[in-house]
Amino acid sequence: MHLGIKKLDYLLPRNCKNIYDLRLSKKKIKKIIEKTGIKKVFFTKESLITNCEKLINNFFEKNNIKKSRIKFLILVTQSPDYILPSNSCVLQYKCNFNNDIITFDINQGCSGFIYGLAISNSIFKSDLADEGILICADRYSKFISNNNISCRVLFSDAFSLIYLKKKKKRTFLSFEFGTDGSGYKSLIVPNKELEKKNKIFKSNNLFMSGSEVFVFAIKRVPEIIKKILKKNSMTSNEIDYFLFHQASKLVIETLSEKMQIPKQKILNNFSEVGNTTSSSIPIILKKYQKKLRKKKILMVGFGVGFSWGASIINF
Amino acid sequence: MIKKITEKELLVIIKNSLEVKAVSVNSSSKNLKEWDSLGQLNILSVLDKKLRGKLSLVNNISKADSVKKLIAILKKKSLLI
Repeated sequence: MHLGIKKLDYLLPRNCKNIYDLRLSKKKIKKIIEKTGIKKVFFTKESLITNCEKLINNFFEKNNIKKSRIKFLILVTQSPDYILPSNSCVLQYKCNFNNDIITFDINQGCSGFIYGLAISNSIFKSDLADEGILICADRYSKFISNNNISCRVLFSDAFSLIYLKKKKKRTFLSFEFGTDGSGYKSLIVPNKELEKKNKIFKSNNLFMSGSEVFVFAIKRVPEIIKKILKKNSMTSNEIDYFLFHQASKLVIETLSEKMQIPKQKILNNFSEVGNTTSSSIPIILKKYQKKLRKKKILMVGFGVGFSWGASIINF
Repeated sequence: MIKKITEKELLVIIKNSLEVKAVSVNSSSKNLKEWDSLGQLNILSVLDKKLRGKLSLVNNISKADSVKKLIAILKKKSLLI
């Protein structure tokens, strides 16, 4: 038995910040939009769990699916409301799921969706469940101060739900993962106690070294694409669409040029929703659901950690 | 064949990436306000194209925020003539 994506949904907060409204010179704003491709970002003051509750309850009501069918709830997040307990436990309670359910959180960012899928696949293969949900949710805005322009113009809060169901037919062909923890300081919410001596980290504000993340991405993403294609004895020509984590326009354009992927094979949404971390690929899947049906897709999540993961799917 | 660039070409890349009138070997993020995080990203992406994708193989290139540092790092990797 195999993993299958049955349905997808997502929630973006109502609050939206237009990049043009930032107190920056017109020239600077033009440069930012030119490179990031992002014109607006979303943020919420409400808790992560409140947003997830809204998303989950609305999804089950809208699709008329009984919650009792759900046997696992995996929450991918790096901005949890609680360090402990596991936030997925709180969601089980708040959303009235049955008690016979597996719940746990995954602390991964932009590669988290791929991690969640691979683990869900293992749960199905172990016969532990027939149906489950994967929630990718992050509120990076709570780590970003008003002065932190480089992060403010990039990251959006977003919440996505992937309803997974066991399938007889194999739709996920393969998974690949990688980690390089030497880059942990390149994208980090510092621990004030541990980082006191480090002058770069002045607060528990999200810190990002854009250039280090960029160099990581242009090195590791092409590598993992080659590896997963080779593993499946495929060439990039056999892939209908490439779905990259929506880091920024510059990163995606550089990757597509490096890999010589035709533009029409790459689907994006960064200009409309910003960098939504672990939700970026689920939101694209939802947006282009019809277009992607029965197509062969290569998805790559990459970022904070550094961590990266890829998967090939017959959607 | 490994693509290499000259010091003159490097200065042109930096000048164009930062959209400034001129740069010298003494230019850096400390004395050029255009050499901010976005400027650094521009320099790296253009350099990567010029070096035919070899940039990611160069250690510490992302931290090189001055012309002198870039020259030293690229020379060490034999990517600068």
